[in-house]
Amino acid sequence: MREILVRPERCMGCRSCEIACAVEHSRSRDLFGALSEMPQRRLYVEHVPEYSLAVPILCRHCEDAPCVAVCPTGALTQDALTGVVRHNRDICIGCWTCASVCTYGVIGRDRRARVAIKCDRCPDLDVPACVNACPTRALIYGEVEELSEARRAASALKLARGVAASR
Amino acid sequence: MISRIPTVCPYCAVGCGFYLTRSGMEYMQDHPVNEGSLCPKGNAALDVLNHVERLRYPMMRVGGDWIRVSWGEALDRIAEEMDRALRERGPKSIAFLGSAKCTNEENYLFQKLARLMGTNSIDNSARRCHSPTIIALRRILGTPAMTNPITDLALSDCILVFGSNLAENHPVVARWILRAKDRGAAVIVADPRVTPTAWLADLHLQLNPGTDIALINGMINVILREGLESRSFIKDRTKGFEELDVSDYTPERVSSITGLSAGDIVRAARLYARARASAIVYCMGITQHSCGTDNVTACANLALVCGQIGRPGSGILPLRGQNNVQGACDMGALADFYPGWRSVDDPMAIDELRRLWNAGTLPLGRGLTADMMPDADLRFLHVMGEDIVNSDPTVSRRREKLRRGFMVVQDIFMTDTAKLADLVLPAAAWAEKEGTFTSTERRVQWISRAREPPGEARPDLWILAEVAARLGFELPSDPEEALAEINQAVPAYRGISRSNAGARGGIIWPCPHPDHPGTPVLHTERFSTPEGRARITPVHHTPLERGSPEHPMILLTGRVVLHYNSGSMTMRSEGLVKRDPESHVDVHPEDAEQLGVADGDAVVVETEWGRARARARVTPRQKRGTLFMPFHFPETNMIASELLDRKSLMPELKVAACRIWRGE
Amino acid sequence: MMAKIYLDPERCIGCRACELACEREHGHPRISVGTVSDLAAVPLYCHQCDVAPCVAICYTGSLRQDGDMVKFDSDLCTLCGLCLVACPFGAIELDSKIQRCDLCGSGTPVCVMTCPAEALVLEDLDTVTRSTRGRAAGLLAARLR
Repeated sequence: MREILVRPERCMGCRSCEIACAVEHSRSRDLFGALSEMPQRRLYVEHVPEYSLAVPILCRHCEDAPCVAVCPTGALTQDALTGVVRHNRDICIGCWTCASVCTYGVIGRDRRARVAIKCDRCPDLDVPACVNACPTRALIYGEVEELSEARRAASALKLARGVAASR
Repeated sequence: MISRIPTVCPYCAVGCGFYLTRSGMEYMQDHPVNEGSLCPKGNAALDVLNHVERLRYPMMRVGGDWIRVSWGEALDRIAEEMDRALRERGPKSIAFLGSAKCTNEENYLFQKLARLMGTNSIDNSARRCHSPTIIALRRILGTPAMTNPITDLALSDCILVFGSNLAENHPVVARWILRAKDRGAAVIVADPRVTPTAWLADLHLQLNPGTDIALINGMINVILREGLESRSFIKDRTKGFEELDVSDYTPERVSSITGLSAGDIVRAARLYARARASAIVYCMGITQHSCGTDNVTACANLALVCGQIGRPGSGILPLRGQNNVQGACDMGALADFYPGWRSVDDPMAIDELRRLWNAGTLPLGRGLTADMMPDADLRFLHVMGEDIVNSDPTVSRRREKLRRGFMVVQDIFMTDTAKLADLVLPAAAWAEKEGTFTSTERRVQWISRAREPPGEARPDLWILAEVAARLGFELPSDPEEALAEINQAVPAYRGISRSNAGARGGIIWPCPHPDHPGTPVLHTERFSTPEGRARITPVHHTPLERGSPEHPMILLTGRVVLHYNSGSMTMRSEGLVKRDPESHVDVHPEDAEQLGVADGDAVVVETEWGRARARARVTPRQKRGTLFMPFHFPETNMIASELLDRKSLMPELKVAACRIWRGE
Repeated sequence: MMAKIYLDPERCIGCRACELACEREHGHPRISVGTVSDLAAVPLYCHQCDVAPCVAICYTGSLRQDGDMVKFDSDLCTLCGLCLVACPFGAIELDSKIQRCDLCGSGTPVCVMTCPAEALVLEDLDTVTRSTRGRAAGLLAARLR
């Protein structure tokens, strides 16, 4: 099961992901067209002034998603295979219970339709637009196991270098 | 008339402000403690004021009936009976019960009257909530009170809550703990039950009842082993550290005593000791034990070893129960203390008061505490605003003995205590009189008269002055005059006046002169002990030897959010009663299954002290092997323990060995 | 955007002050606190839904969407009770009239004002989600440093 994984230490706060997301979810699917459509964000690069850091905050499509659990109409559902939390605009009543329980604050309000708006993990793309756009690969699209494996390999390399140096 | 008058909530000791309007109430958003918010009881405060059952006229018992009498007759009779008791049996035959619900001025004059009559037999409900705090913190830190204001909790990085269900009993305190959590603070709650307070915890230590000292000593053990103590603080600000030996309290051993995992004990110790500012909040889960004074001592030791005291966000915060329990104690309405925390055994300290009061001699030595009064063969008992029969199990079981002498009760309702009296006097409620209340954080607030008392009800201060006048003493009947005398008698209140206590949020004592801004944080430079250092005092865990084959479970008692103490107020509030109408006993689902008890069943709970009926409530909130009953209902107090903490004479109200079965 | 009442379920201590305050203000509580197995508490109240089922079902037009709020006009109401059924929160009750939240007219509703735990707030959605994101980002950033 693939996820959008965040490596916050790599984020430099360029907001390319936000722009790519807006373009992908616009009708025209190009930057200028998207601008005229007043796009709404589905992921957010948050600046944390105390630490002078930027951190991308986006829907985690949680395994046991609180938003799905509380949705009174069933507008939010989770795909059993992909884990994607989907939102059905037709039956959403705009009660914002989902937004109240989301620990990441990534459920927004569609200005026109007055219903929830959130990450759909770009169903028409192989790799979500935000991931494609990220120049530093702070956002990656893969399995948790792959990320852990890469991290293990990196620390093994470090250790091996140390051992080699001490020989 | 001004359209809205500021007042202070009459329920718990948080001291929340709100406005009284002609027809109702309004929130006070600029109050420093509650910022406009109120708990459910505060929202229902007016139900009490306007209740149809308010006492309206003085009433005398004649045979089995009550007859209305005039104030003159009633007051003459009190003076006559008191005088007769004194002449015939001496000052040992009279006693007084002050009230943590009455103002400082009223309690001050009430204890003065008692002492001028030659007795130290004056007590108030603090005996049953924080007498161990008074004894332990006075000895160790010098001042028996919260070291920091409530709002300071927002500045803490670690908050350790011991035996306090503050989310239900002091809900506004939860506001400040949540603010600390917003900043990333860690909250540790030690309580056998999963209370709403435990919901707020990052680490909930669901310890076995009565094992607090073991847990705290275990934490100190970890702290010393890992070098997390504050060497400089211990060296510069304390004494007695060398005698503190907690080497036996390894996490593994403490784990077997408390039922907690050793890892959790280590984690709690590290969180508390490493944080920049840590606070300990505790309440009756610490004090209402036969080792209550030692429990408080252990809390103080932990804070002192880590140097977590005397700074913003860092201190020891005993949450007190009643709106003026701190004040009633500051005023000396206690069998062991004169005003200003002068010990009854210290003739030098008392001599100052003797001169101030122009008295010949003043009594020395501890008087009768509330628990001792029924057996003391009293000829005269004067109760001011306490429902002792419903709040003290020992007295409750011996209530008939109270009737042997002449008994006067002044109250706002016909409480079960008043029903035993020979004379009942209608008192003005909080919003119908003036004076000061001292909240748990030492905040002294002046309340203004916003309503007329019903019928012929009169302020307690007026009643006391009238009684005193008939006995040949002159006591002020004006609260400002009484406060002026308190300025002389209680050093911490020296600079407190109507103007500074009447300002928004009042003033926090010590306030040594009229221009002083008050002292929110105590012990910043030195402790108020004679030597200026805090006294670390070793204490040790002694097992609760309560369980027996007949009584294998442990009954815990406490409060629920919608009721208050003996219920004389909340049980008269429709909005509260309909939401929580009857006594219940909480049982863990697995215990319930084993006992064949289902939710809603009628059950009997039996302890060594008696039997009570209640309705079972099966809930995972409860710890296995324990039961919980709220003490607002008379049933609970009928089965609570009479064991005493010998150091403070606090009854062990929190725990009792018990058994439970289905049946009527 | 107009402000509505939002709940932070992590903060609610189940004290029911909101119920008592609402009852005092309106004579009948329009908010009620439910506890779940005694291990969590949730106040149930009108969310002023943006696409409100009570409005959709109301055939007299006494319930209508007005800006970001659901308004009620008792003159048109026939007390049919359909809105009670439609509301997913059970936040509408019927005694001699329809009892539902009107956000206490203007100003801050009493339930928000009285909440000791600041679990109920009167805010617009953007402010609420922004502060949640800020908290999440803060936690992550703190770990990085």
